Amino acid sequence: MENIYLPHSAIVKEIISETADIKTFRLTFEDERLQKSFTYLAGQFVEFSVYGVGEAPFCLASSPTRPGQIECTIKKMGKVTQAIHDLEVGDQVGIRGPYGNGFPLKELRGKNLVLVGGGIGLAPLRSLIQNVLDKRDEYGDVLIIYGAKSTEELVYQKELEEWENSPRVKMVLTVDPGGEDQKWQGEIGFVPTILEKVNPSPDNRMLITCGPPIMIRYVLLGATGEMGYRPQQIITTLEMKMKCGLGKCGRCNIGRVYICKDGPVFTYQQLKDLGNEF
Amino acid sequence: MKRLLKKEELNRLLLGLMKEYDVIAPIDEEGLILFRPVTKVEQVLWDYPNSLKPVKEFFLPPREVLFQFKRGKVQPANLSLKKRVIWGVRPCDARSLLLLDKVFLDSTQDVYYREKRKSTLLVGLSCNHPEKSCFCTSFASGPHHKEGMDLLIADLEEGIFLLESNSPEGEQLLKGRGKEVNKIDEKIRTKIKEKTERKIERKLKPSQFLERLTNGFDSSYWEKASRQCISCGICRYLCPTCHCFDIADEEGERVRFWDGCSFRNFTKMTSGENPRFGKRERFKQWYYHKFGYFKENHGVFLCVGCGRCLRNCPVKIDFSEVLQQLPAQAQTPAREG
Ligand SMILES: Cc1cc2nc3c(=O)[nH]c(=O)nc-3n(C[C@H](O)[C@H](O)[C@H](O)COP(=O)(O)OP(=O)(O)OC[C@H]3O[C@@H](n4cnc5c(N)ncnc54)[C@H](O)[C@@H]3O)c2cc1C
Ligand code: SF4
Ligand code: SF4
Ligand code: FES
Repeated sequence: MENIYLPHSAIVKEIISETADIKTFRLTFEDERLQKSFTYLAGQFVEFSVYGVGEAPFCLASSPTRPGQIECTIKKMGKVTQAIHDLEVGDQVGIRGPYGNGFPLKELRGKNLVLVGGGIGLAPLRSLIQNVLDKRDEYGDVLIIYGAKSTEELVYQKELEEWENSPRVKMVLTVDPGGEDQKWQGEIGFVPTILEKVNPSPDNRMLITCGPPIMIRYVLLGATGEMGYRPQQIITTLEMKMKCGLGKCGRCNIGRVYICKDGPVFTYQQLKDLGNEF
Repeated sequence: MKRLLKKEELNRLLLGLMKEYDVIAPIDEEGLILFRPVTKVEQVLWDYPNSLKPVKEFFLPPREVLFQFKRGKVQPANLSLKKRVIWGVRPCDARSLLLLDKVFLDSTQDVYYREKRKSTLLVGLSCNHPEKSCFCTSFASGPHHKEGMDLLIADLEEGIFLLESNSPEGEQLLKGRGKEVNKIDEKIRTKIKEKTERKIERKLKPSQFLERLTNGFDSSYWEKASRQCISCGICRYLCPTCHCFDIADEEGERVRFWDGCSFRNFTKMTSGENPRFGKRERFKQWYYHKFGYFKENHGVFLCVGCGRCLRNCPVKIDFSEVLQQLPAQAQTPAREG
C-alpha cells in the first residue's frame, strides 16, 4: 500500500518569472512511468516539498490536456515559497497529489463561462482556460476578466494575448486605480466593479472566480445582486491553511467539510449551506 | 470465548505475553498513571483510575518521523514493529481507537497509524470504580464494553476474573487457560456491570447537542462560554480522539506533531488571514467538530466520555456543561468579523 505522505521526486525544468514575486515552475517527475500516468483535474492541487524547509499546497496551473509536465505558479510569501523561489533549473523537489475535487467540468460543458480572476488567483483558472481551449467545441463563449494591483503584477502576460486571440474568447484586463502605466489600454478599476460594468448575462452561464478573499466576497455579492446569478451558477475556490491535504490533520476543516478533500472548489450555494465561517 | 481465571493464572498470562510481545501497561510513574513498556508483572497496576494520557500516543505519537531525506533521496521511516500488547486499556480508550480508525483508515490509509494498529493487541480491563468525571455510558460505551478490544478482563472481585475474547487473536490467547464460565459466574458479572453503570453519575443526552449546535453557531453564548479558556490545548492533547497534527521539516527529516484547534497558529495563513483568529472561534471549533461535524459525517460523536478533558482543564471548564447550557434557541447573532 502506498504511503500517502511520501512525495514523488520531480525536477525543475523551467522557471518563468511572472512578476517581481511570482514565478511559474515547470516540473517533470523523475520516474517516467509516473509522469505518463499522472492525471489530474483543473482546480486540483499538489503538496510541493523543498526538503529541509517544508511543504506547501499549490494548485496545478497547467492543464491535464497538455500532459508531459506540470506547472505551479507561486507567489513568494513565507518559508517554503521563499525556498521555492530560490530553486534553479535542474533542482530536485518533492510532489504529492493531486488532491482536492477540481472544477466540475460536467457542469460547465455546453455553457458559457465567465472567469473572474484577481492576482495569483488566475493560476487555477489558467488550468481551466487551457482545458477549455483544448476542447473548444465542448464549451460556449468564454469571458475572462482578470485584474491585478498594477500592470507589473499581471501574470501570464504572453499567454493573455494568446487567449484573447482564441475563438469565442473575450478578455477584459484591469488594474487597480493608480496601478496603470502610460501604455495601459485595459480597464482601470477593481475586479468586482469591472465585472458589474461588463455585466455578462447569467443566461446559460457559469461564473468561476478565484482571487483574494476580499475580491471573491465582492464578486459573489455583485453577481448575485443586480446581475442576477443564482448561487448554483457561481463557483469559487477556498483557501485554508493545509498540511496533510488528505482530511486527516484537521486543519482545513470548516463546517462539515475539509477544504483539502471536499474542496477547494465549491459553488456559492454549497458555501451558503455550510454556514457562516466564511 | 469466555474463561474464568484466578489472579495467578492471569499473572501467568501476562508473563507469557511479556515473553512473546512488547507489553505496554499502566504503571505509576512518580505519581502519574501512564501506559509504559513493562517487563515485570509487579510493575503493572490492577486497580487504577484511568491513565493521564490516553493510549493514542502509541498509534499517533506526539512526535513521529515520517521519513528522512539525504541529498534529495527520501527514505521512509521503518514501519515494521515488534508485535505489541497494550494491557489494561479501559473500554472508553479501546473505543477511541475505533473512532480514530475512521480518520486514519479511510480510503486514504495512513500507513504509520495502520502498521501500529496491525501489530497491536488490546487486552482491556473493565472498570469497577468509575470516576466522577466519567460518562462513557452517554457515548455508546460502558465500563464493561469490549468493543475494539481483542480480550476483555472483567474483575469479578475476590481474585477471580472473567475473560472474554473479542477477536480470533484474543481467543488464541485464552485457549487452554482457566476454567469454563458457568451461569452463576455470568450472573455475578452482570451484577457487577450493572452496579458499576449505576455508579456513573454523569448522564448526557448527546443527541440533543446536535440541534443546539446547529442553531447556536452565531450565538453570543460562545463569547461567555469561552471567556475562562486560556487556549492551553490540554483538552485537545489529552483527548483520546483528538487527532489534529502538524507536519514540519527538521534536520534531515520530516516530522509530524500533535497540534490542536485551540492554537491561533493552527489556521493562521501566511497572508495573515485567519478564519479562527479569536478565542471564541477556536474554542467553538472543538465542540462543533466533535459533537456536530463528525457526527454528521460518520454517524458517531468524536468523544468516548473518558472525562480527561474536564479532569485536566486548568480553569475547570466542563464541556458537558458548556454544551448543556448552550441555548436551545438561537440568540442574538454576534457575527464574526
Ligand atoms: C488549495 C490551495 C491552493 C493554493 N494555490 C496556490 C498557488 O497556486 N500559488 C500560490 O502562490 N499560492 C497558493 N496557495 C497558497 C500557498 O499555499 C501559501 O502561500 C503557502 O502555503 C505559504 O507557505 P510558506 O511556507 O511560504 O509560508 P509560511 O508562513 O512559512 O507557512 C508555513 C506553512 O503553513 C501552511 N500555510 C501557510 N499559509 C497557507 C495558505 N494560505 N494556504 C495553505 N497552507 C498555508 C503551509 O503548509 C506552509 O508551508 C494555495 C493554497 C491552497 C490552500
Ligand atoms: S484545557 Fe481548558 S483552558 Fe485549556 S484549551 Fe481546553 S478548555 Fe481551554
Ligand atoms: S472530549 Fe473529553 S470526555 Fe470526550 S473523549 Fe475527549 S477527553 Fe474524553
Ligand atoms: S490539510 Fe489536513 S485535513 Fe485538510
